[in-house]
Amino acid sequence: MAESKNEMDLNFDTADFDDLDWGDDEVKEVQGQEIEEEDFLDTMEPSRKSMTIFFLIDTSGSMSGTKIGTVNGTMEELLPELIGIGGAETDISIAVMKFDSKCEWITTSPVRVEEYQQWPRLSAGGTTVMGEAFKQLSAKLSRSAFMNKPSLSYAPVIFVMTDGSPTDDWKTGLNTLKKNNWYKYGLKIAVGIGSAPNMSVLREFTGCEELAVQAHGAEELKNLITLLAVTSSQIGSKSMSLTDEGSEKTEEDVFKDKERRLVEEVKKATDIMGGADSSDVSFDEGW
Amino acid sequence: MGASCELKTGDRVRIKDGGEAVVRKELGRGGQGIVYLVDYQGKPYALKWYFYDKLPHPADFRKNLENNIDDGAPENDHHFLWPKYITATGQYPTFGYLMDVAPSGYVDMDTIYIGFKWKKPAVKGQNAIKETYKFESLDAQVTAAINIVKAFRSLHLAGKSYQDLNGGGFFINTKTGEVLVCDCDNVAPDGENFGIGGFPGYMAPEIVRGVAKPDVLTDRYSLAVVLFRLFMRSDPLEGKNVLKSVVLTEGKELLHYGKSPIFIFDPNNDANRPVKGVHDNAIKLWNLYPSYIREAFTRSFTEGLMSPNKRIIEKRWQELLIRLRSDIIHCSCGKVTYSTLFNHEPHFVCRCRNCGSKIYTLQIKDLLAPLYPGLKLYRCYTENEDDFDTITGEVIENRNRKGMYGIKNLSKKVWKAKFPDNSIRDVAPGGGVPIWIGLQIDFGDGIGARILS
Repeated sequence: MAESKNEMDLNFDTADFDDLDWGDDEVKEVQGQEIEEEDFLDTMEPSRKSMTIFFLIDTSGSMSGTKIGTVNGTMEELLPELIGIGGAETDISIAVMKFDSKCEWITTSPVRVEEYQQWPRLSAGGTTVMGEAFKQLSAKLSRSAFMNKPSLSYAPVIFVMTDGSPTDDWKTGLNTLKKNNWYKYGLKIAVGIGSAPNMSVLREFTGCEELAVQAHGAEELKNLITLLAVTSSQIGSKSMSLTDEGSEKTEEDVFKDKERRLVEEVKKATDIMGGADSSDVSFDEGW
Repeated sequence: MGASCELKTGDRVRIKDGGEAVVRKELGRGGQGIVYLVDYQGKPYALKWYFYDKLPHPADFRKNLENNIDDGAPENDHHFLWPKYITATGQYPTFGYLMDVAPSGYVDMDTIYIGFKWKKPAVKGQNAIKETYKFESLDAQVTAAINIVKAFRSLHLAGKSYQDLNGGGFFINTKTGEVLVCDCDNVAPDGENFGIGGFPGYMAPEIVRGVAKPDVLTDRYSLAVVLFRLFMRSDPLEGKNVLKSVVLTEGKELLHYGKSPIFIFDPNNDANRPVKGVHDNAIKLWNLYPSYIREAFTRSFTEGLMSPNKRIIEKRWQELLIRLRSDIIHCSCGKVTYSTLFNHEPHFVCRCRNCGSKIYTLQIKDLLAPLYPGLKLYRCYTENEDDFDTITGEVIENRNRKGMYGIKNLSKKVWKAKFPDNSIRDVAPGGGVPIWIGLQIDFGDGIGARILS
């Protein structure tokens, strides 16, 4: 290093930091609990929203044979489709109830769909206590029952499948359910199977004509269940997106936004499916 | 456009510039379309293939995409998986574009944020497999943040906005912090929009409320969310107040993310603090970061929430993050952590809690750099240049005198150093000065620095 001659030209000016102190930047540590590099990188999983998709499946006697067979086969294929569908934001859980002469929860509490990949094939027999199913669902749609996650939730998706008419007092059951806020804000979907489902009950359950659909044959049933379950999970597990409007939105504007989107998606998709295919295996032939 | 317009292996799609892309397999699908692996002119590409009816303004969207292809990626093009070729019209009722395939070793930021990715089991009926992902070092984490900011700085300086900033839009190398910005198809000249709103949680409040469309200023809000999530692994707006809603209905979402959002660490409003047992990452990590980082986030999510012009510009983030990276002290004993976790002694001296070593601080411009072995100085600090990449100095151990550390001149300029005895010496490129308290350095260009005493 050579001596420099001209000190006058040099610039050693810096702002005066001598009087400054560190402020509150120093973090004290508890002995034995020192914070290491890993603590920044290997943190807990961040809090994610939860969304539960309920399947209420009619397993009465009339469902036996091909109908329940198709439902079982479709559910087996659907479960892997739902893996990871909640993305980074949402954990999707599944809850399954079968109802015939009585109601039975197949899942004792909602199970993360990624950990519920083995479908317990359901068998059918008995009557159709749909009203009781609605009541029991309402009991579980509570902070003190199935909806007990400490993190934030999205409203649930509730999916009913049946091929006939309720044999009990479904109206009282549905009225109980209608008072439940989880139901109120949830996405309700119903699939009537075969030629004799009571669609007016299903429409009353969904509260939306377009979301109560009928599947006449096996292929259609499989397509509808898959479409509705996947689409409703996608929409239900995410927040709203932008519409093309340019004015300040109100709460009324966005109320049932998700339901509207689901209806749109279902309409588009069912147009493409084009209703019953003549080669489809009808549930009502060959008896 | 549903099932009828999906492609299958072997399908040949004509490209506008000539030739055909041959479909190999599907790589994934999302709300807007499907991504296929294709071969074109002997090279693999990813083809993004749109669901035509999901595009609100398909003709304008296509025109904009063509313009983006013509313009090419902004300056730092290696940060973008930019659209390269567009498919020809007439062959299919929809269209798509080709981009490079993300190289291996990269994972999307969402996956790093939640820490894992679900992998479908090989055998049906078995549970999904949880693959875990995380940054390999603090340096990689901060470098990734710097790279994200750099990419958006160059995009914005090119007069364009990204519009759909979210954690799914970046591929990150968890070892090096290299970043690739993908999904560049919504990029549009600032002020223009072709129907995309953005991603929930990342959207600026004015978009959620429906009174604005994506632009550079809303990109800046989303960028702050991306950075907050990257460092704090939590949502900046989800705290006690939001959790009280229990169910995030459409109306509640409008309220908490649009009309009356509250930052979880708002110094003037504690209504939405993170909740123990739910938002533990935020509670644990927030205070571990230096105050200038906390202040930047606080500004972004308090004043910046409702006043788009008060959001932090990319250049400022770049400066703050470069400083943050230099605040990762690599002590000679092997301890690596932020300076906040060292004992702070007067004159900005850090003392290692593990080995007791003293680390002095160099002050240049508004940077306070702890002088640990391996600290790098960049051209943006030692010269008046907007260059955050070129290394101009590094703290190293003297080859001949073990235990003596100094700053080596890696620049092309001659520095001048004033020693504590008031002697002044030239420090030529390749030379160095010892770390002595009170030592001052003149980097030229009117830039002075000193080791604080």
